Amino acid sequence: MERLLAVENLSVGYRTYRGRSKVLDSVSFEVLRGEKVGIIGETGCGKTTLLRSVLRILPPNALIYGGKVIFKGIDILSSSHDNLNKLRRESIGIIFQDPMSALNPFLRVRDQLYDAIKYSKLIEGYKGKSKDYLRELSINLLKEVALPDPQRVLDSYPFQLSGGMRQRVCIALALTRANELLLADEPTTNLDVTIQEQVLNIIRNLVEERKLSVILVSHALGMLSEFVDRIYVMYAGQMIESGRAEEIFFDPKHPYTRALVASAPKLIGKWEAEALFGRVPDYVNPPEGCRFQSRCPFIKEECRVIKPSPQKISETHWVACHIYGG
Amino acid sequence: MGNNILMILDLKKYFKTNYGLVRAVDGITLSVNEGETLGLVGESGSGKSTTGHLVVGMYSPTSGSIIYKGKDISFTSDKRPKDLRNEIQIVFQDPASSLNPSKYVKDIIASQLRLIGIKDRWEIENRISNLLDSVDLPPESYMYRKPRDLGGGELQAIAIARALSTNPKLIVLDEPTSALDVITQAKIVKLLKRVQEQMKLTYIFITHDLAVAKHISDRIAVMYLGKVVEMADSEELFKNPQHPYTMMLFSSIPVLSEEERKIRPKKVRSIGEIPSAISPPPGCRFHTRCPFVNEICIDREPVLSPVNGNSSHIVACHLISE
Repeated sequence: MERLLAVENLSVGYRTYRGRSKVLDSVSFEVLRGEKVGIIGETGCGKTTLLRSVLRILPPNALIYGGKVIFKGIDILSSSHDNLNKLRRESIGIIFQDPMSALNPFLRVRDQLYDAIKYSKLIEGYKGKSKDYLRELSINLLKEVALPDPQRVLDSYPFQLSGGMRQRVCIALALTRANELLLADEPTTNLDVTIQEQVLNIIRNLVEERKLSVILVSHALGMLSEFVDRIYVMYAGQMIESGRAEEIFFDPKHPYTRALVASAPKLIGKWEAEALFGRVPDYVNPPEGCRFQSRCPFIKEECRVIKPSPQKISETHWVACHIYGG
Repeated sequence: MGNNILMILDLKKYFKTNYGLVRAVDGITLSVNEGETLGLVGESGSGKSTTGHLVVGMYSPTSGSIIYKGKDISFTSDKRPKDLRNEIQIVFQDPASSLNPSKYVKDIIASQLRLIGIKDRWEIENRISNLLDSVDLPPESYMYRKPRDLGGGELQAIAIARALSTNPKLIVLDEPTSALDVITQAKIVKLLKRVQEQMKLTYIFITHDLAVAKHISDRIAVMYLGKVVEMADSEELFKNPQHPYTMMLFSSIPVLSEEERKIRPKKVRSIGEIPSAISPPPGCRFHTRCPFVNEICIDREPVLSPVNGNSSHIVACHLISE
């Protein structure tokens, strides 16, 4: 399969009042065309920073120390604004975590959708058409995300909609852009389980219909297991393990992944969580070597000095941990 | 299990808003046995938090009664006898906003201890360090830290320590783990279970996550739009869910393995959203989303009745009682 997106040795940090932080520590990953990739990690491990780097929509205090984000042969981090905007307009769409803050509370849904459509591929060849045409396009989009009563939704303000409906509007907005790649940043975290299932089904159907590639970022293992082909596990800005979904869930290697999988509440059997104390290290003075060292029960001498390099477990499965050599 | 510690009889709570009367809790009857954990599950807007808040006396019920150890406590906590007030505590969902970010952990807990009449400084210090110990936080390193420097799991542990400070008998846990990461969530649930055994506590565990509820609860009550629609022992509920809403919740749980996928009921797919509590649908409140809806469901409201003569498993659904 063709490689759609490749992130190579990306290091990103932020300017803070305490100094320069180093959040992403030479992160590499790739997405093939038509592939559903999941990135998992806990709060504050740099998942969102990573997604934002892909679209280069980082906040102004962000610093890119190095690395490349290559989308179809173009380096996003060094391309001109015109090229970048073309990609954002025509190829890559993003769904944010909190649909309330992703929508403008002062504008009706229709105005936000019309704007999105006007600057997208959808409108090509229809310049000068009336508002009715825009409305028709918007209604079709809202129908695609299975919103009941799209006419009413178009004329409402975001606050008049429920969380699930707002998230569906956000998916519709992303659809105006995502012709090749869809980025989803914890799209269901704020929703009820029942609504979460509905939203995931919508995304799944759209992805299949439109043959999109997806990067789904989340901390919910169960949700990822039902959605993605391949998973990357992230801890404190480092990629620590990657493999096909089954490999990660049934044969996790890294101590962190093992704890993560054990912590997921199961429907069968006992819930035996491994005790993992502490939290993600400080990014302004990150520890040398493996960033998981402060919480790792199997710490060795070299963990404090050398950053572990990826070791192959199988053709598709690798882990970056000194336990497995490297 | 021992005797009833808490009884809730036909409890109702309506809130007046500009748009009309919100029927947050609309006639629920529950009992909680001493030493057990009752799980309250449902989507947002089902009235589970309001129920918990009524039990701790954050507001007074519109009608119905709450009976704690044989005494009627259906009013706000300031009108309750002081010793009863101490015996019922609450832990909130978001520890970051339920703890004062700029006070020392020590002072947060000390203010509670002073309220229950402990004045001696050494005694207070002693108790605090015991409390922090009991929630796995080394006192010497946490006493003089402020909530803003701590992570979600540590904060929730402190909120639990604060709730324990008055020697409660009953703790209402209002989604204590839903703001936490999976790893921390597992740790907090483990901690809660251990503390419960040590101190012989009774829990009302409010959550929207059925998988978590399964692991901590002895019994589970499923709520929908201010009503209890099904209640059973937690094992029984998972083995044999009866109400279509329970099945819908159940089938929406994302799982990892194939075995788990198999035991999820397939019949009910999640559709629609919870209607407004201002004008709940007539008849069975779930009929707008139910795949098995009948005429009778729209006409008449089902009552809670036992399943197959098993009085510990009750369900409110026309399909089953018929």
